[in-house]
Order: sequence, then C-alpha cells, then structure tokens
Amino acid sequence: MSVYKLSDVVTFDSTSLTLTMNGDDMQKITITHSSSRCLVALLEAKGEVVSREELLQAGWGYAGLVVTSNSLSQAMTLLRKSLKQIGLDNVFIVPVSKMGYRISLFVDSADSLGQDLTDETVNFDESQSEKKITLKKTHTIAIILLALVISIFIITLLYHFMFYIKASKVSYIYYPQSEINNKVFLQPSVISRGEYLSSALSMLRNDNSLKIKKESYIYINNSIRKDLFVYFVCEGAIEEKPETCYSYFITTVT
Amino acid sequence: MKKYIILMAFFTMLIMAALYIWYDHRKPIRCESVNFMKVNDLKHQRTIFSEGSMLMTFFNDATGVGVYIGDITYEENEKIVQRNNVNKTFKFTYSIKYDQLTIVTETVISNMGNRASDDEAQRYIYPGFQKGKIMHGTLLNIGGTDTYAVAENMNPKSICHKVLNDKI
Repeated sequence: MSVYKLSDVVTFDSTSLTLTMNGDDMQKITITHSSSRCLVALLEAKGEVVSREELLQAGWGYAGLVVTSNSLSQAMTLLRKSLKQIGLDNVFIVPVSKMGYRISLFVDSADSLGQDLTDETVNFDESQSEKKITLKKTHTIAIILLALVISIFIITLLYHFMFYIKASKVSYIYYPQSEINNKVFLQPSVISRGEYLSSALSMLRNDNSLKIKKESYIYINNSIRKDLFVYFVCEGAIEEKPETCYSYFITTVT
Repeated sequence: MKKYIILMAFFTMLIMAALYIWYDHRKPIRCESVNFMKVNDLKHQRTIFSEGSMLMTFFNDATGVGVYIGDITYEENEKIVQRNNVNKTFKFTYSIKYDQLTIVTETVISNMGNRASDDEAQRYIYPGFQKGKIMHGTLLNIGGTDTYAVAENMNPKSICHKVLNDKI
C-alpha cells in the first residue's frame, strides 16, 4: 500500500482510501475501494494507457467480482468528481478510445507504507504544465494568425477606400429647343448665365460643320471663359450611354 | 473539427477578399476620350478643326501614359488648306486625391506619322502636350457610371470613359 502525492498539497492514501488536502483531516475525501484501486493502477502506469480489462481486474476482479464496463465508467466519473472536489483541477482521467483510460499526470515513484513522504518524488505537474504551455502556444499562434488575417483585410479595405475616387455627380436638366432639332440639356449653373447660354445655343444653330446628328443628345456645360463653349454630344441619354459621348469644344480667337 | 473547418473557410474568404481588392488596385485604369474642337480664328480668317481620341492609362505607381491619335485640319473659305496628322504619346505623373486630379507631363514623344508640332497639339488638342505642364482638374461622375468628366471649377470639359481591362 502506498501514499501518493498528487500535488504539493494533495495526497492520496490507498490504504485509508482518502484524498487529503494539506494533511488536514478536515479536508479529506474518502473514495470507494474499487475507485481507489483503479486510481492506483492509473498512477502506477505513469500516464500510460491502462486497459479496461486491467482496470476491471484491479478494481473488482481481485475480489472475485465480475462487473460490466458500465461500472468502470461510473467509478471513473466518481473519481473525477472526487479529484475535482479536493481541488485537483489540473488532473484529468482521460478515456482512450477502444483502449482504456490514462491519467494526465504520472508518479515518478510511489512510496511504500512507512516510508517518508518527502522521499518520494512525485512530479505530477510536469507533463500537465507542458501540455498547458503547448496549448497556450497554440492559442497564441491562432490568435496572432486571426489578428493578422483580420488586419490584412482591414488594411486592404482602408487602402481601397483611401484611393476610391469620391467624385460628385454631374447633373443636367432638359432644356427644350424648338429651333434645334436635338434634345438639349443644360448644366443647372448655365441657366443663370443668359448671355453665355444664348451664345452657346447660337453656336450650335450656326454650326454646319459639326458632326452632330439630329438625333444626338447635346449637353451644354458651363465654362469660365466666355469664348469657350463645351458640349458633350451623345447618342443617347448620358446616364444610359456614356460610352457614346464625346467632348465638343467651340472657341473663337482673335 | 467542424469549428476548425468553419474558421478556415472564414479565414480563406477574408484573405481572398483582401487579395481581390489588392489585385483590383494593381490593375491600371484606362480612360478613353473622344474630342472635337472647332476654333474660329478671326485673325487669320480660318477655322481649325481638331478631332481625335485619347487613351490614357493610369498606373498604380502614380505614373501614366497618354496616346493621342487624330488630326488637325485648317480650313479657309470652307476649303481644307492643311491637314496635320497627330500621333503623340506623353508620359506623365499624376495624383488623385478624393476628386482632385493633377497631371504633370514628363515627356512628349511624337510617333510615326505625326505631323503636328507640340505647340499645335498644346493649343488645339490637350493642354498636356508640353513638357512640365501641370494640369489640375476635378473629377465628376456621370450618373453613377464608369464615366468621369474632368472639370474646371465644377464645369465639365472633357468626358472620359473608363475602359475595363477585360475589354482590352
């Protein structure tokens, strides 16, 4: 029979079937005989997998009892609860598919009854902390990757919007002209410039060299220069067929 | 496992979207404009007609190339007295900030068949046909389409239709 030190503060006495916290009798949990023997088998295996058959033999078979594997599962559940209850959150009894169970810490050596507890070197935390570190590293890498991907996406979006042309829309209003056989539209600011508008229309009327067809849509643009007239000539409405439009300038030099 | 697949799919979609946007910005913008100009020269009693098309390519490194092909015709008493073919290329640097376009002409090259002088081109075609010339303009969008008008003080002067890369 042995006493196992499961952590700095928790010991397991397989004789009295107790898990004790800080050697305090007030903080003691008693487990069943079969659970105790199963725990011993798991601890002795030092983290290796113990088969269900071996556990059944250790827990019940030694006494000539035959139980189903359901009883083993129940015993493992109880054992987990007891370990958690005593405060061993970092100890896991892990089921291994189609094989059995293993404990996530292992004992380097277990002392026999009567030996000094300090002589036994129990290094339960090592593998556990290694796993924790590995898990933490994996999480950190995953978080860094996630942050990186999201950052790349956000930077690309920002880049896109930074270079996106934020141009105002140009609008025209219909301006019926019975003398000109075309559909004439004006930039709204042209209306207030009566003289410029009449000159622009007069240029259109008098121009016989223009390549403007009768069915063309003509858009008269405003101009700062009084002697420069700028038109857009399209085969359809400018919003619908902008690709058919061309610029037409008429100017006079003296 | 399912969680990992969903996460992987999400990451892949994000990366693909980012790559697409990045790739889209790497593509040059091509803009085509067709221009006609009629100049009544009262001093010389003649009329000058300029006609041609310009294809401007804006690269993403803030440089660009413009190619103009057309002609300038001189008429006196409604008779053509001279016709000069224009075939010029000019290289420029540009910047677009919001809707403000600035183009600085770096070099002007006369291609084979060109008979027009830089001065003529500068006067009758486009103000950019002169080395060192700086042109400022405001971009106005037409009806939410791919067509922009280069404007001077919000007054459109030249219409420029974006040519999609896959159509070239």
